[in-house]
Amino acid sequence: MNSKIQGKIDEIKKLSAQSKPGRQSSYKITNTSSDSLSMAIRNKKDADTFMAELKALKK
Amino acid sequence: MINIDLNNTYRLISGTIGDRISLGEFYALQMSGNEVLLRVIIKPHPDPLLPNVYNLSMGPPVSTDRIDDTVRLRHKDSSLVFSTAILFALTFLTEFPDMHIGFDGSDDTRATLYHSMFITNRTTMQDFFVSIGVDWYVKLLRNQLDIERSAEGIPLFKPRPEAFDYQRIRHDLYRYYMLALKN
Repeated sequence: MNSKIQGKIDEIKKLSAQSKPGRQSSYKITNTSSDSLSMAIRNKKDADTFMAELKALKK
Repeated sequence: MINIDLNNTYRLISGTIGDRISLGEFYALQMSGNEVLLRVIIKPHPDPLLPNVYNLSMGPPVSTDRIDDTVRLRHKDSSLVFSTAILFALTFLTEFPDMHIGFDGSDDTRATLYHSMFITNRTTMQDFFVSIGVDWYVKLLRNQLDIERSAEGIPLFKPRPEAFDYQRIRHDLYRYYMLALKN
């Protein structure tokens, strides 16, 4: 990664570190399964298989 | 055409990176000459079975942690806008390297945008990310006559991720697009 892009990433992380705490805590994760991937994942076995396939693609 | 250039992005005026929600905000110049505040949000995929998958969305801010993704904007430089969003995604993934960011290609307009963006920016995407396309498939039963179905007769589609195939043309879209951090 070139130094300019690394510098931009560092700047965003610095901005994050300076942001007021508590902003994240107001966010509640919704349990609604509304996108198309959710419709193709019906149970934990489907999800585990999918995640294992994703992991394999990173190697 | 959108050209992703991570060296050329808008400067964020605020940003928060976290595993519950990540928010980045910046002003984007419009064709009208006005600037519009845009917010990039990366938040957990709504399905609790997919804890390592996050969704990215972008649009004008609504309340403290949402966006309006229905408004139509005419950006002066769409490449600059999307480069800023992709840089934010890269920043998130460097903080959480085991996570994946998903883009729902549920309609042709969105899928074409993501597909074109991946293809046009192949070099940049391959430099920083593992780009993934997801198809749906159904299992052909051993009788060779029918496919696997639910009790209600609905085909049981399953997701099949693969390394994004840059030979696939825009008329052969994936159903879902994902980014992971390149090791």
